Amino acid sequence: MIDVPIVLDDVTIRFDGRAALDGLSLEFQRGKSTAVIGSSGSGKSLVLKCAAGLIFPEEGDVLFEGRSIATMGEREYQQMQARTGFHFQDAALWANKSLGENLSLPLLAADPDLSDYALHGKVAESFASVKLELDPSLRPAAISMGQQKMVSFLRATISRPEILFLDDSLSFMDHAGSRQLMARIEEFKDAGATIIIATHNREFSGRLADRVVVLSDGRMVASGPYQEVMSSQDPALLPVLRDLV
Amino acid sequence: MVETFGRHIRQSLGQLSYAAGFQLFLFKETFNFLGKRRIGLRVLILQILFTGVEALSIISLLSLGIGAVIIIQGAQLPDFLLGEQLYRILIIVIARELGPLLTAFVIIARSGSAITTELGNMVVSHEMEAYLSVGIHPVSQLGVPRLIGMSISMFLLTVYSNVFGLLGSLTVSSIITRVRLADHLSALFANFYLVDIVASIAKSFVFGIIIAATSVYYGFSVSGAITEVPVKTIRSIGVSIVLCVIADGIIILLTMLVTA
Repeated sequence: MIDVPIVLDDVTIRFDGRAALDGLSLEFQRGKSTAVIGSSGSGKSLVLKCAAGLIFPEEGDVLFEGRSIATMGEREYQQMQARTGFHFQDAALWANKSLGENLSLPLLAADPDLSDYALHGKVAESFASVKLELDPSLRPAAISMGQQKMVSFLRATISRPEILFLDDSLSFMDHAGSRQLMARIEEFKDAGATIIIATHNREFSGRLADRVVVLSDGRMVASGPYQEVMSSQDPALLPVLRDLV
Repeated sequence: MVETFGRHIRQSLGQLSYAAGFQLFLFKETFNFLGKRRIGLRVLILQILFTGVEALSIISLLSLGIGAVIIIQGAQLPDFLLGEQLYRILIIVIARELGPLLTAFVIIARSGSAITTELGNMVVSHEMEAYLSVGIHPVSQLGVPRLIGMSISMFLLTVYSNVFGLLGSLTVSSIITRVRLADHLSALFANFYLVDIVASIAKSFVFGIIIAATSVYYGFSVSGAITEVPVKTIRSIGVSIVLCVIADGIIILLTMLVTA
C-alpha cells in the first residue's frame, strides 16, 4: 500500500485569469490528518476538491495512489470515490431527495445489489450514531442548516471511507453539534483514516491535525506540525494565524 | 482587432468541441443506462410524469383549439370542406407538422427550461460535486434519465396531440358540413399513409432528443453563479427552438425524397 495516497503536483487553477491555486505541490500521508488553513479565498476548498478528484486542475496533476485522477477510467474513478468521503462546506445535500435517500445513494453506488432491508438498516444506524432523531422521509429544506451539515457528514462517512475530506465542517454547527462531529471525526482518525481538513478553526485543527498547511493566495506559505506552525513568528504567517477563529 | 477576432474564433471552437464531447458522453451513458437502472429509474419515472403526464391538459387544449381553428379558417375557402383533399391537408398539417412541432414548443417552454434551471441550480449548490464524491457521474444520474424520459414523453404527447388536433378539426367540420363524425374518421383513416406515421414518430423522437440534450447541456454549463441560471435557460430555449426547426426541415426533405 502506498504511504502517500494523494499527491498534488504543481497544480494551478485560474478563475477569470486569476490564479486561485498557483503551482501548488502537496502530499497527504496515509493515516495522518492534515489541516489546510488560510484566510477566506486562499484556496483551501479548492485544494480539497482537487485532491478528491471533484475538480481538475488546468495545469499540473493530482495523483491517487500513483495514478493520475484525470486519466482514470469510469470504473477506476468510481472505485476511488468509494474509498473516500467528502463533507461539503454548505452541506450540498440533494434537495430533491429525502434525507434517507441522501444517505442511501452512496451505498447503492458502491453496491447496487444491496437489499432495501440492508439499506434501511444502515441508514437508521447512521442516524443513530450521532443521535439524530429525524424522519428519513424529510427533504433537506425541512431541517436546519446545522442538521443538514450533520446529515451531509453522515453521507460522507456512511461507506466507512479510508480517506475523509472535511471542508469547513464546523460552519453552521452549534456548540453541541460541533462537539459531536469532532468526536465522530476522532473515531475515524483513531481507526486509521486519512483526514484532510480545510478550516479556519483553531480548536478543530489543533485537536485533529497532525500537520498544518498554510495557504495564502493559492500558494503554500508554511507547512509542518501544528504547534510548530502556530508558534511561528514569521511576519508572512502572522496575519493568516491571526484570522483563525 | 485581428487578435480579438482570432481569440473569439478559438473560444467558439473550444466551446463547440466541448459541447460535442458532452453530447457524445451523454449518448454513450444513455446506452449504459440499463445496467444502472436502479439508481436512475426514479428520475426517469419522474421525468415522464412531469414532461408527459402533467403536460396532457395544455397539449389537449392547444391541439383541440388549433384543429378547430384550421377548419373554421379553411371553411372560408371555396370547396375546402368538400372532397378527400380535406383529410390529406389535415393529416399533413396536423399529424406531420403542427402536432410534433407544437408539442415540441410546449415541451421546450415547460420542461426544457425546467431542466436547465434545475440542473443549473444544482451546479450552484454543489450537488453535482456531491454526486461525483460518491462515485456517480451526474450526467449519468441526471442527464440520461431526462433524455430517455423526454424522448418517450415527446412521442406519447405527439400521438396525443395528433389525436386531439384531428378530433378537433373533424368535430368542427362535422358540425359545419353535417357529415357524421364516424364517416369523417373512416375517411381520415383511409387517407393515412405509412409515411405520415413514420414522419410524425421520427419528428417526435428527434425533437425529444434535441430538447433534452440541449437543456441538459446548458444546465451543466452553469459554472457557479446563480445569475448564470436564467441566462443559460433563455439560451437553452432559443437553441432548442432553432435546432427543432432545422431538424423539422431535414425530416421534411427526407420525407419528400422517400415519397418522390
